[in-house]
Amino acid sequence: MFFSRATLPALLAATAVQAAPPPVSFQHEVLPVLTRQGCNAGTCHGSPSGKGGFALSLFAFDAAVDHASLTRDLLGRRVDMFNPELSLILRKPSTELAHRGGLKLPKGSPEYGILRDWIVQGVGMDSADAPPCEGIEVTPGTAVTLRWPVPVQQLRVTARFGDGSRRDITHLAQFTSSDEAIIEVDPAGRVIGRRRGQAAVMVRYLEYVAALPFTLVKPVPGFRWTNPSAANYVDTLVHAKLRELQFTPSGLCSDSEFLRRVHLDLTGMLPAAAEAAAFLANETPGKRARLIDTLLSSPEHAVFWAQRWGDLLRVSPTKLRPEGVEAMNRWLVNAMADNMPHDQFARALLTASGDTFVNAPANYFRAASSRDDALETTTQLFLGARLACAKCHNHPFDRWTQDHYYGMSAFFHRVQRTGVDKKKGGKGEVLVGTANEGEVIHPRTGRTMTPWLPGRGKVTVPKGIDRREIFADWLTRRDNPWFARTAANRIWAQLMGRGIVEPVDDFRGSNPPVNGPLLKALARDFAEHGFDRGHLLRVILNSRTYQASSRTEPGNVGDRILFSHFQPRLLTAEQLLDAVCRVTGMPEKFDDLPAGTRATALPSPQMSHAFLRAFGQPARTTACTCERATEPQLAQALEFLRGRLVHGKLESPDNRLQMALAAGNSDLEIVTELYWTALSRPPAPGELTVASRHIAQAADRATALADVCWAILNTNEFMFQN
Amino acid sequence: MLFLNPHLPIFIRAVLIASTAPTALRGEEEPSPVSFRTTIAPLLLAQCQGCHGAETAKADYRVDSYTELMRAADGEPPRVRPGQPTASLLHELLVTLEEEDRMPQQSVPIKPRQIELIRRWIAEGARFDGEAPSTPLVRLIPVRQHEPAPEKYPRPLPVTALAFSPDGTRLAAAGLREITLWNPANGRLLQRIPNMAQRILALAWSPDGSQLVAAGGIPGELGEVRVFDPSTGALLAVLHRAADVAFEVQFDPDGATLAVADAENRIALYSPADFSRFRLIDNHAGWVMALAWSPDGKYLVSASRDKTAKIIEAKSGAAISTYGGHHDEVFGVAFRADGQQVFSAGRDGKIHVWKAGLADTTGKRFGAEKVAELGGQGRSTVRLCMAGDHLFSAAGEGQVRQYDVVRRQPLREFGEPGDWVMALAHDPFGSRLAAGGHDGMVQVWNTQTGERLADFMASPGWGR
Repeated sequence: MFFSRATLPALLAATAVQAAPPPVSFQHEVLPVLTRQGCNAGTCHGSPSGKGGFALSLFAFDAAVDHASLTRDLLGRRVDMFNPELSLILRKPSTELAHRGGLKLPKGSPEYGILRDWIVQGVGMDSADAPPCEGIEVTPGTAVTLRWPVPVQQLRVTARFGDGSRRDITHLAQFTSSDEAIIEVDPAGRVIGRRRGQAAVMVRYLEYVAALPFTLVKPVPGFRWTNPSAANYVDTLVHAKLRELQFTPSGLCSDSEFLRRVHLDLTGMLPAAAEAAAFLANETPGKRARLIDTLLSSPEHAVFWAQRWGDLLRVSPTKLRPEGVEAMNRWLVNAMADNMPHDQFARALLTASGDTFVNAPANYFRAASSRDDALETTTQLFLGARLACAKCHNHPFDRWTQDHYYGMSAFFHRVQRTGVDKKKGGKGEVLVGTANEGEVIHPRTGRTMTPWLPGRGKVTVPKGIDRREIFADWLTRRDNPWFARTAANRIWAQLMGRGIVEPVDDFRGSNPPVNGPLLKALARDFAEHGFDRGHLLRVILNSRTYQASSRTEPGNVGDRILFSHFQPRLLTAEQLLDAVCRVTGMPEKFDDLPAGTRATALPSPQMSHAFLRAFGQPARTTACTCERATEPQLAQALEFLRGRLVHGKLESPDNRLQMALAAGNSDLEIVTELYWTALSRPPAPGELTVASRHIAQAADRATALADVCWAILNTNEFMFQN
Repeated sequence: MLFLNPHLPIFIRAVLIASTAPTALRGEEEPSPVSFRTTIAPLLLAQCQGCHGAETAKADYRVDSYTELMRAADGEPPRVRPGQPTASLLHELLVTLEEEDRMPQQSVPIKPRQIELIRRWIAEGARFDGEAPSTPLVRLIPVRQHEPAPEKYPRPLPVTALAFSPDGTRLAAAGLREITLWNPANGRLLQRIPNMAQRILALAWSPDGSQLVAAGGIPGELGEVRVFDPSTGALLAVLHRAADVAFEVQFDPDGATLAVADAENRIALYSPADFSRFRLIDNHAGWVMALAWSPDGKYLVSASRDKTAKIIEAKSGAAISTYGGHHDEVFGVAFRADGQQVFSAGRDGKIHVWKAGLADTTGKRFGAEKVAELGGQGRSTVRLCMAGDHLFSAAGEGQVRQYDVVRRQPLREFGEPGDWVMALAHDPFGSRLAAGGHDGMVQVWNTQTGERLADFMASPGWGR
């Protein structure tokens, strides 16, 4: 027998004459307090095994379990209805008794009062017919710009309930900022701007999460907007954001920088020395745009971008077998070469069936370790959402709930994968198909899940229809806000080194785009042009923003994320290896692959290749771009200082230097050729002087030339894309 | 203030002190010299040990025993310098004007007259007046006098412990700071035995009916086992004290030994004849939640939050075998009448049947070995008890289940779905079963027929 609401008044009347306080709701008040005070966070009692022998569900996603844990577990030791102040859930967080988590619930605070009143009233659970909370609203409801000198905004949070009532729950909501150094928010919901920039404030109440983007504008002394010209809408929107936050854009990069940059981005390779010289000598207008068109239609571009997709689709022999890898690569290269529209690309993968050695896209489901994996990969790749958290509990930083997870998982639940028996001629292929029945059961509630789609709700799929088709229809609609935005952001990130949303597959309110209008415009343009990848690439590559110099100006020194200038970045493992091969004239030979195969054309990762591993080549075990390591490593420095690969090529009798010496070329010719090859520019007079002096003083000319080459390979200008 | 010979057995001191709460807490004039045991220790325990105990030890300083209080950290002067209060950090940090440094932090301020007592105690030499300086404060301070029970309960009290008297005529139940005795036939209140701590979590009658023992305490603060004379209600002894609650108390079959388990992970064996402790067993790594004696009284099985159950030889205190098959916290244990098989249950919701691993005829030991699993109730199992070949279990729901352990089959369910059952007891003949719920209800059934014999609210004055 629980103390129901009905018996409470009588009960209290028996003990006290004074007016009873309004009944405290366990779900709508007590649990939010626990969340707000951090009690059920993943690092505290919300961790799967709890803390100090006391476990709560993460962010209170399971009210029934929490109620039992607080009131019944261990013979009800945590609450004392007769002497509420003796309750452990009050004494420990107020540090009256030892509490490793420290002071979380000061005695006398309103939060303490809510818990105490709930105990006084008999630790009840809300009755089953109590109106549920249906959502929250935050005032102000839109993006907020705070302005110096009073950069303050109070937030108000209102909850809507099933009976139509609304309640101010600001005091029960939890507020967090995505960047406390820029935008601070206190427990009462007061937002204070600290530093020029942008951040999101996330508001949580029960399973509802809202996020508000904040911008703090603080005048920069001496700032003057110079009205830089714009090549297209990309520049207009980037400039608008820069101007708002008072940064200036850098000027254009040099022709040699552009040439090298765009070659690396589109083909993965350095431009040849002769091409570089010709491009720099060319003085006709529009040569950059023409180069972009040429490279976009080059076979190397298709191969290089197919490799990027191969990373995300986990194309590796361990997952797909060599035959599957081959089929998948052929399909990806063709898709890139034909500029297959992105909606068709996604649909082909998501609805694929059949033999994985024959129908390449079916490998999409073979690469997934489970149906859940297929769902999580799909949302990560095409919706930019990391859904995996919601498998076990509501997403901590986003609106995804466990119900959403299993509702969407219903679309992939009937996918079946069957191997072919060796006795029946099977060679390791897998047959992908779909069953006619099979339903997802919610692991916590035991309910059968109806397929569910974001923005659409529950979906009825007629019998005999492959549910994946319905999912693909919804996914690739032009008005699906997530699909185009995710794809546009990925393409942007590949060119600019950083997404407008970063990480590129982690879209959520609490991780807002650094330039929302820009992302929106790119996505709209992309969708309106039929998800034409080539079109979007052209737009971005032709913008001044892409072609900006990597050198900072006084007006943008502090910016690293708003695209005021190009962010130099280390070449990827494959790009760098190809570049070293190009400069030394010594191609790399990979096991089992034809001679001449470039690293940027590898069909699958070379797991035993020390150089590629050191520079972060991903093993293709996850569908996350983050698997490619971008952090600098000591092993990288060692590869260049004394690594076998670099020195082997420098010391080889067959390398570029030896060939040039044999051909009777002068030192000047050889060094000049090295500069054009490695850096797409001629050596500066000073560089030539240093090189000549070194060669003149050396005992052995070949060794001295190798030294010069080694020195060039070790420059930032070579190793970085500038 | 009475003068107390510290060498008197604790139970006698308990009776002597029953009416003298620590005077420092009441703020009365304190004679010289200020006593550490009766004045300073209670103060430290209430005001400082939360942050400076064995668990947290902020600033690497502990006050949970005299030894710890006086210990100097490496390379630092001791925090207490006898005779020199103003050179003692313990005192200085109570009176400093620097708010950031002043103790206690994040807590209710300490009263000026309490600070004065600490100052005087240090000035008078900071002497220790107990038996062993390393005794934890909670066992050093005078036995506490608990508030009386309310005459009428303002709401139903969850029933967390039950025990039938040896003649089956009285049913002892956990009350609020008291034991209540009821007629199990009609639910009439027979007697109230006061002077117990806030909560009672286990009750046991001596086989001859001369003693009624209650284990419990105040969660997070105090554990106590107290022995009463059920005929007069008199407190005979405060048997056992701990820094957190005591969960279990069990007489061995002939009443010669009393086993106690607590939240300090300990099992203690006492002689009920003179209340002396003859063994302290400390081989669990988590709270010991339940105990059961083997029918021959030679062994105990223990259930612990450390996810194991252990067979312990009473004579030596040695663990004979450890059962880890639950992979989760264990809350209940029972011995089968043959002394060879053991039942255990806990958070995993299943009842495990295993061999005790006792010496066989050749003297060879096999260790604990799982034999079978009874379905259990699918929820965290709170209690187990055993009568003859019948096992009873209570889980996180309103019903109690009875199993035939020979056939390893469920026999019957008692009660209706409802609030959690938190206490189970059978009468000495195994013919009646009593269950107590979180809703305050006690129900009594006939174990042969399943018929309900009585049901009543075990909360004096409630509903009348």
